[in-house]
Amino acid sequence: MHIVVCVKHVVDSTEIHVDKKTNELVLRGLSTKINDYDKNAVEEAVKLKKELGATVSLVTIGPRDAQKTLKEALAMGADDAYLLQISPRQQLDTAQASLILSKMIEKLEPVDLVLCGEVSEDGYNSQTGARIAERLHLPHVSYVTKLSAQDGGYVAESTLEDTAETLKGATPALLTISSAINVPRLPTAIQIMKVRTSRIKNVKLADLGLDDSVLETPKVKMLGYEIPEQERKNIMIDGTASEAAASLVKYLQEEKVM
Amino acid sequence: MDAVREFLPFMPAGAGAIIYPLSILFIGCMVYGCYWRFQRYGVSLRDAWNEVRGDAKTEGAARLGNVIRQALLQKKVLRRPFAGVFHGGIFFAMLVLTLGTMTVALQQDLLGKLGLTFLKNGVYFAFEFALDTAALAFIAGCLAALGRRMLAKPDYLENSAESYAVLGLLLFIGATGLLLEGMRLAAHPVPWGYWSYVGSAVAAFIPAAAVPAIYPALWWTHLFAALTMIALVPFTKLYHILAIPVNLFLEPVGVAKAKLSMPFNLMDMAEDEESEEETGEEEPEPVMGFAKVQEIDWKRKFAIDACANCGRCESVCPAHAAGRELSPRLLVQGLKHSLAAGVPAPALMKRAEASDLILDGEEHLGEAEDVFAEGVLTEEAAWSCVNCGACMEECPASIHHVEYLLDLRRHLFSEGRVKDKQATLLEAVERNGNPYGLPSYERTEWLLDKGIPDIEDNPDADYIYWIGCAGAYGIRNQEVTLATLRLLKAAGINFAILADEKCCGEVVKRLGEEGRFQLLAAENVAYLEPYADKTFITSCPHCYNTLKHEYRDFGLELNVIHHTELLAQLLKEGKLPLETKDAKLAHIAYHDPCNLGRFNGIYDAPRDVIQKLPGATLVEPEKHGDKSFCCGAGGGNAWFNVEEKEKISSIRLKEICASAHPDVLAVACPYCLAMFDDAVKTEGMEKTLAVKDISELLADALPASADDGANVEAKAAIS
Ligand code: SF4
Ligand code: SF4
Repeated sequence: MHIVVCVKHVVDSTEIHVDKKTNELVLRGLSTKINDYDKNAVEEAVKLKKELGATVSLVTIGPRDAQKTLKEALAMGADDAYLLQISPRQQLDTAQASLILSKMIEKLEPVDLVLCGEVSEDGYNSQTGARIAERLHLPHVSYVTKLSAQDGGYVAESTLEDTAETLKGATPALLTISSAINVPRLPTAIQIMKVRTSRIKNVKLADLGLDDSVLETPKVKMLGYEIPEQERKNIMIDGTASEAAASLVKYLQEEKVM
Repeated sequence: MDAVREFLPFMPAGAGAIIYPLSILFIGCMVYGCYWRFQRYGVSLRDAWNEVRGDAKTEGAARLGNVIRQALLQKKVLRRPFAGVFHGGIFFAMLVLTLGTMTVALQQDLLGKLGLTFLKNGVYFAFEFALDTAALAFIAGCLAALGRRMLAKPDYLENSAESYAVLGLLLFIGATGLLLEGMRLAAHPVPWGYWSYVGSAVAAFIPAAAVPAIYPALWWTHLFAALTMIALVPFTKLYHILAIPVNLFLEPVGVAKAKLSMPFNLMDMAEDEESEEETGEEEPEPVMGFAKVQEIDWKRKFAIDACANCGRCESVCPAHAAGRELSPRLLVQGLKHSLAAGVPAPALMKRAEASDLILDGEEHLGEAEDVFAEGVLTEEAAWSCVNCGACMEECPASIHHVEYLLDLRRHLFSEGRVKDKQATLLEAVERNGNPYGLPSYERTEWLLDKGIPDIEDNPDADYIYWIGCAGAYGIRNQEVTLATLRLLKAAGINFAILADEKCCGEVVKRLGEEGRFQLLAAENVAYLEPYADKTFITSCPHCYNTLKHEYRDFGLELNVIHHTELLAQLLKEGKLPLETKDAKLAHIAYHDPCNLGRFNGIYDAPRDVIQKLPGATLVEPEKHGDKSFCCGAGGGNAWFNVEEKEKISSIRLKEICASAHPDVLAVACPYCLAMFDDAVKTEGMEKTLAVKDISELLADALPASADDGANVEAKAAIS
């Protein structure tokens, strides 16, 4: 069994903030790392590897620094890694990314399962997985919260708000993995360091039959962004339990939420 | 005629001479036994000898000093009121009796033959008196020890058949010795008999006529018993008599108590890595901790083998007291058994029905993966240690329990056997530079907004106030930070903070993720280096340790003081005006944080501050100073949960209240503050007990005018 996991190298979303002086979003100079949700996908792949003796390949598009992300995922137990290097300033939308990734995956065929994280913590689009499946003509299950597989087929539970469906299907298929599925293992710093950079294979657009124009033709245009106003009222309610409940109801009614 | 000792009465001629070959035989057994035992340390005699000789050359005198203090003078042993005294009694008596016997031999078989008699008259009387007193102390000590095992039965003491047999043997040797003396004095009374006051008392009960018949048999029995004891040393728990002094000598001197080992240096490895990429040769991954006791350095094997199973460590262990799965005694004993077995020993540490942990017998179960699989301890036990150092403070064998546990944690980490909360914690530290997982930019922003100067704005600052993660992000601890800043300003201290401060990495190190700690430390060291000429003030004793002791490994020597030290000094110099008017009277108990007290010996400064607080009376809990009892947060335990019966913080809080009856509990560590704040709620004591950091108490006593004294902006900024 061959499993390909798409991983993304992202800026640390917990560190994104608004510069108080300029009121601009601070995105540069932040630490970068592996997309947390992709770690769940890697973990699931590595579990299947242990169970079924699968081979796990990683694919990513990113700056040179994305080697860090791949090394971490390799230290978690993946076997191979493929990086399509772009400039750190280059932004890709989900259409561009899915096109490139699907070509990278095609190159790795035969592939039984493609796993993606449910979302990336920088863009929060939740599109790339589904788009890749479409391009590769693969059946696709999203938000997978439970997974088992054997050669030729898989059983996945997909959980959406308050419904859970269990789906049985044949491979090849693409699954997007929910963060609820597992707790990814944490390789030690040494284990990550000891992964040789030479294990990461560089892929060129030309190898995929694409040219640089793909980087310059986004399907989505960013017009601007605004920081949503968020105000807390910070109301403290005193009194006995029944008094407090009564005043809480009053407040909620005033807010028209009840 | 001179008064001298009658040598071997009632014995056939030549009996004296036979002692020597017999002694050689039994001592030979002992030496052989030691060699047999030595083999389990996995080092050749020559290598061990060379190493010890090297150590002796560099710091031999200092180490010998340690041996004298701890072993000969029984410093650690005597920390215990009862067990310390009777062990001291047995030990000193045995020393005197052995030296006494050797003196008699010297007199009789060497000096006497040369016609020299020094053991006579006054000297002899004193000698008899000393030996009789020693014999009395010896027997009393053995009886007390037996009584403790049979009557008091403290639960940290393991009552094995072996311990009774050994004590019985000692008692037998003492009793027969006295009986022999009594017989001699009964049959051949001497006018100076009262010097041998114990022997004379025994003689009163012995019919003189029976002596010649019984004496020889008893003499032989006594001799054999004494020699047997010597031969048994390496085969029984008596081994500690030899092993502890040697282990004390093997221990390096001058290592700060707070300092943890550094098993490898990542920076060196990074260089190797580059050359590896070039040559294509792969360096093996460095070993993280140990999986089996056979893997550790021989000196550390020797150390655990020196454990006398006295239970002192267990009796003071907060983790054990809280009903966690850890006992430092059983950890060491488990490792010791595993070492002795050569092959893994079985489930040594098990939870018994009653409550306590018990040791099983030594069945061999064949090869196990690691000490956890062997059953020496559970993973939960390894995470249960709060790194309080109480065990090490008590251990007469100077065993470093925390280091063994740390290595086991390192092993668990390398295998990915960690708790989810621990993984989250490490990721938070790695990404956000703090264990709370809060954004790094929020760390000092709130202080800079208040006008607290960053080092770049005040490059001439004499002091750097290191906020620490808790002081920066912990809601309650932010108040301590503000109080400390207010005091610094009131005293006119020229200080700054570091806008880009990051977690010092203490938790990461103590959890056993050495690699991540080193990456973080190296980064911090590079950031701090330019300010190495300044004095760092920390409010957190954990930061204090890391900055002061751990960063040395990375070539950074910092001058670090704890805020209580600075405050005590400022008060002494009269630099902090205090409002004495309307002072509220309060009984203030001080809880010694492990990392400040035991680890760094800072006991007085915090107390000095409290005593100078207007209206304050310092009250001491029963467990204080180097016997303080942890709040439960150390060793990373503030960040994850382990199974326990009662919270360590609750145990401590109740003990403080019961023994000191305070109105205020003063602390000097952000972890302690958080723990006790929580415990006060758990125990429903919010109304009766206030938990405050010493700097808050002192800041409360500042007159309103103090804030505009040194720095006018300060008041606006802080209040
Ligand atoms: S480790 Fe030390 S304190 Fe604990 S039982 Fe052994 S000798 Fe005693
Ligand atoms: S350091 Fe403290 S918690 Fe850990 S074993 Fe020793 S006494 Fe117990």
